[in-house]
Amino acid sequence: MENAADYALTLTRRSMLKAAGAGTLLAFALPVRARGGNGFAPEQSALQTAYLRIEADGTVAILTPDAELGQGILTTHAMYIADEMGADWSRLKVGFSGAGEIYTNPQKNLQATGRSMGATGYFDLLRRVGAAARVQLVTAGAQKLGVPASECDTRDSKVVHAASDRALDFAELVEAASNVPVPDDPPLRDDADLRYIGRSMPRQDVPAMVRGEAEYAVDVQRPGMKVAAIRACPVFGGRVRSVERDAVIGMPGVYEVIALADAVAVVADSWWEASRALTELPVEFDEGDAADFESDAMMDTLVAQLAQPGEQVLEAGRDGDVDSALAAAGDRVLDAVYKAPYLAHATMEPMSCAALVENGRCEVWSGTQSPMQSRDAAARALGIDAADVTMHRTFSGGGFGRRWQTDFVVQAVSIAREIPGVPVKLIWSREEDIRHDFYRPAYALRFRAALDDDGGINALHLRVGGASILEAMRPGMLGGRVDPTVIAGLNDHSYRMANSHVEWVPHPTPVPIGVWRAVSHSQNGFFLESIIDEIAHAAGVDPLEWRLRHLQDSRIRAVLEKLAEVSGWDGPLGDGRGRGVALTDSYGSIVAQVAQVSVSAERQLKLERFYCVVDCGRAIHPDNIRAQMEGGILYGLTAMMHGAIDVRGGSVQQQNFNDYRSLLLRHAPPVETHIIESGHEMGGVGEPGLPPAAPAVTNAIHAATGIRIRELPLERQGWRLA
Amino acid sequence: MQKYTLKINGESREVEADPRMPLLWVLRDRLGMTGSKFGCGQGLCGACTVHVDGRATRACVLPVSAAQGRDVRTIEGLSADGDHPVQQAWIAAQVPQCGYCQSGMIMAAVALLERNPAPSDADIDEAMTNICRCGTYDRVRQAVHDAARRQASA
Repeated sequence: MENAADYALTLTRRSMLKAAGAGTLLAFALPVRARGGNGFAPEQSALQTAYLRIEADGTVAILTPDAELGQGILTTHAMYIADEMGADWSRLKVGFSGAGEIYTNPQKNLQATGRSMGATGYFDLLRRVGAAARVQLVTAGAQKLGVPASECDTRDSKVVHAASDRALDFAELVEAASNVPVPDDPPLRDDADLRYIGRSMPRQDVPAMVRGEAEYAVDVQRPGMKVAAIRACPVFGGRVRSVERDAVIGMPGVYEVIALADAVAVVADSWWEASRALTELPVEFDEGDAADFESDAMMDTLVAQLAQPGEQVLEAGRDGDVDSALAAAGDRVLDAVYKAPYLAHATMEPMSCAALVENGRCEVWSGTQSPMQSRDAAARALGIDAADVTMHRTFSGGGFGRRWQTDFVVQAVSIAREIPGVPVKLIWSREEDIRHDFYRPAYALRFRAALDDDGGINALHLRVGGASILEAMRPGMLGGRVDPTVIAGLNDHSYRMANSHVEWVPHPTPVPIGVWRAVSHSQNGFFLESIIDEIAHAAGVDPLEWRLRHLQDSRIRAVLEKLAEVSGWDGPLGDGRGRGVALTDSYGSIVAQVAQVSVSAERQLKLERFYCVVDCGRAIHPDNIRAQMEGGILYGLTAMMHGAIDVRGGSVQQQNFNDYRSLLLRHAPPVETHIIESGHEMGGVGEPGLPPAAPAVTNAIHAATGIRIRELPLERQGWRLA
Repeated sequence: MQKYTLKINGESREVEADPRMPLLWVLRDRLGMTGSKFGCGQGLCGACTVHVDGRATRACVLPVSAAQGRDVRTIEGLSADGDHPVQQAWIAAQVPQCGYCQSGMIMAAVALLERNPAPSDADIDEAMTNICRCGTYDRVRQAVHDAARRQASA
């Protein structure tokens, strides 16, 4: 695979004109401002659109509008286009598009990678892009062969006329095909004719990854490039008061010291030289208003507010009369508080971004999840037009929502502005990465439940307290409404109950917060699925059986039934071992998991095995779905076991992987995933694997020991992994 | 700044650097070899793993002065065509997700297999301490076993 920048496909003037007359399919793909890669592609091709190009040798180059975070989207999008085109899988190359409106995900009107929508959102669009190219190729090929186009098809990067056993390679047809008008509404292939979609095609990017050749933003190299290290005020919201530039400016390799509003950067020949100078650079900060913020105290306040919310409480769902039902149940009401801490993303590649500012224009190299917002943020920071910002997208060393933010992009271009004409690559230290994240907010939830005579739920009251992510991203946007990024997973479940009430107590925080893999489901899955387990236990019913009895949605029950079968749920387990079950419905996919654990008297926990069943409607790439389930589970288990960010005096106390720990290979349970293709609308898979993981384990711990876990992470309650 | 002659992937390379400069940054910023990744700077995550005299070594905490005169092997020098048995096994198992930790993961696996051609699960547990945030661990384990089989039958 080549560096994406080598063949980034932009709309050349010619292809723009071509597309302009091309009817509705490509008409959406027109904005002149859409730029990609480093200007125009070095190799121009006659047949070229925003998403694909056929090169002179017949290679089909495909560009994804999404970020590759490990979810395999380069491959998925290549499957969509190549399948419709009839392109040979071994004659593809894949890369990243530029940034722009042309690349908008139809499901969210934005080019941005998140909410598990990369496979679903582009499914129709990219197939149509591929189908349009196929029609052009077939038309051109049929003409050359002197046969009707209706007798031809494409296969293995050839236009094939089966009746006469003749074929023409794409390479021979590029020029002629480009003169065929782009069809308005090209027919898509029947499912039976699909050769890639639905199959586990080998990922296009993996060979480069195992050679160490995939280019991440940290790897970007340009002639004359400098490298920057940065240190922000450790207290959130703090400002730089003074910097003693001269103290380090003569140090070996040091090129420049740059003070931003809230951070200082050293630019040097190497990152180590920049970083070393930064540690010796005398800086004074004005700490600002957050300097007395303590996350422990905030959690205590949150919990107190759950008992006495006053007027701040917002209604997120009400059915029946919960208050009367709970009052009638008297002291048989289950009543407990759950807690989930702040979490950092800790992507393996720390935040990084390269930039060049010169003559009122800017180039950015980044593995961002939000290319359009990054482009616009860079333009705003520099006071230039978005059209004058060129986004070069690289691989992302993990995203998990962190690279949705644009802070590091703004930093990079702000540094680059001070050294015009010099390309500069900003790389955060791991410490900076842990301490200046946009964290998964901390939440507390109180539940009160009353059972009916059959062991079902007569009444359930859920009251969650914590900050709004949407409000943090754009103050005022909620206008007093309930934030779905807080509440989703609590008020939209399938459990049957006569009376229910869901409330949210908003609690703003000075801690920067943002989206973290699975967003609200990451904590709400733990809350609700633990609560359901408590209820089942109180009812004296097996927790999986209880769910089957009380879930209203037959599709969800089918997932659970499959899980019971594959996990051997009813089979015997020895002493000190337990099974736990949890299920969530998120991002259009239903995922249920069984964790099998063993537990010692000293709270040594062995994660023996995971069983996972996912119904994502339609399975585009089964092996990749399995990989995403494995990854979601592991990310969830790491948070469950170790994940906690503490803020004291307005600054994060954790620093690196020694105190913000990850599960290691020796801890990782084997995961057995089964996929159900129910034929329902296609759902995402990047996030839905995560939410059931933690409650499946904590429910298993309860099954094994009777200990109910209501607060994460486990290591804070004395648990250790075996 | 001092001059060092390093032996990297069998080639002699001259660099000028502070003696304390970690090998990782000499590779990445002096020599432009970016296959070895930066993840933590403290030897905690293993993304920077290279071989020094055949042993898996975390290059982010190894001063260049300590690498002088020793055999350094990086992911770039593992094979000419990306077809080392471990790389083949990694592709067969489709191990990588984001891929960022995998250079280090692969170098750790190669070092393990060079001293223990048929590692048990427990051996893999002990040797493979690299962090992967994407959660590829179970596939790493399967791929190490597969690579061992490939090497045995080669």
